[in-house]
Amino acid sequence: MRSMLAQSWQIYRKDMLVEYRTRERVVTMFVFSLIVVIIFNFAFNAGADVLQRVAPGMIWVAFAFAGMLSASRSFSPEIDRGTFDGLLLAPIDRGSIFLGKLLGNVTLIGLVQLAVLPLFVLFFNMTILPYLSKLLVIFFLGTVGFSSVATLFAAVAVNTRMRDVMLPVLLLPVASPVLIALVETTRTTFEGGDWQDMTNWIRLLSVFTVVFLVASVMLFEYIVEE
Amino acid sequence: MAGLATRLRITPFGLICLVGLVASLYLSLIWAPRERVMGDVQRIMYFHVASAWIAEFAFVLVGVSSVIYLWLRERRWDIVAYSAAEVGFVFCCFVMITGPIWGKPVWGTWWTWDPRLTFSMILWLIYVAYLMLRVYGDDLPQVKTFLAVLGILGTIDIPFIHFATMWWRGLHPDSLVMTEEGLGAGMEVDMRIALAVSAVVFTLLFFYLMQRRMALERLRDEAEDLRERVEHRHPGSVGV
Repeated sequence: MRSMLAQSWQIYRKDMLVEYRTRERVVTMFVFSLIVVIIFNFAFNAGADVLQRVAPGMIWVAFAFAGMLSASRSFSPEIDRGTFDGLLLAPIDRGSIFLGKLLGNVTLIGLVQLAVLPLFVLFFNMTILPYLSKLLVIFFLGTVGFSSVATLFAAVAVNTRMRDVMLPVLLLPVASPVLIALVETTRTTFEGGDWQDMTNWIRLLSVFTVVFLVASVMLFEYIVEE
Repeated sequence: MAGLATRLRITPFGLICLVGLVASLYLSLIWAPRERVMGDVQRIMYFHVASAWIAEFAFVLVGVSSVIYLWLRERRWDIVAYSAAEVGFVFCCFVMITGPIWGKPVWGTWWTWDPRLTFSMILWLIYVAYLMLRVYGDDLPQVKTFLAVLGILGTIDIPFIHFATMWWRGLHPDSLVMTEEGLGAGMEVDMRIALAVSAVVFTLLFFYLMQRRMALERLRDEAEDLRERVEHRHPGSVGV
């Protein structure tokens, strides 16, 4: 177990070093999320009250797509350059490759969330500071749960002919419970609700995250075998 | 070649399904009493509920056979999963079609984002994802493994989708089948009988279609095998 974590850490460090040098993923994800927010603004063409009601949904559509971008890019360059075979040949547990990739995706999505949320607050005139601690918990749980499934399906999708289309088709239906829960908890939080007002949702988020994290680590081994 | 011909002929099991379907049609459309408020349109429920049961059952079957496939790596379990997915998808489509036909006169709207409708919609999308991966990944050596993984995750997901859509909102008529007073307590006896017969017949029909679909897949394997052997002996004689 300890060595598995150490191995994942090495994978994670490698990916983050590559990302630090190119900054490809973070920049594209950030710009992409920003564009989604702006386009949604046009799509609804609504007053401030309506915008505040649709804001939680908007946030999560933007982050879900950014998350898919990140998950997809965590495998596709490795496959294209042939370095993924090198990773598989390394004498490490396959599950730790998955954990390293997952950790990378969670970090990058987290960074983009940190950058985009203030802009949301600015554009939609929302109050966020009193709810910060609650949002942090919700965002963390949801991002880990969503990314687990996203990372696993990205490893599947990069192998297919239609890789860019396959990821959303595979991922979004399976991830829909976590997305619904995220939108609902975010909405409740922005409306000033307390933990008691969303017990069910928090439970669903936690159980989903744990179950799919464990399942993904176990199933990843089958996906990457030759 | 006689073996192939017999395998494609109508079996006694198929005949039982046919008789059952006719009986179920009679019970649902003529014999069962007319619903007081909704009228004759309620009769679609006998087929709608039965198909919904099959749509969900079939995906669980996909999940179970996917686990066995990953474990044993035998092609036949992949065939079971694939056939269950394809036949289950047909029933799921039937749910999606009969629902709005009933909803329009009763609720006054074709579609509403009620829990059970949303649930069926998401399940339908997972079926679509499964079949799309099968088609667009057919050139990959690992596609059977990928499909098994999707089948397992999809099945684990079913309870989550169920709770998520349920807490999200509600308008669907309260289930009259699974009531607290017992199975089917909310319905007239005759209605219950018609629904029970319909559910049993649809289950038989599902297994019959599964059997045929699996036979077809095995024939395909056989044809592929023969083609390879001919190609091996006389290179270039078989077009790809």
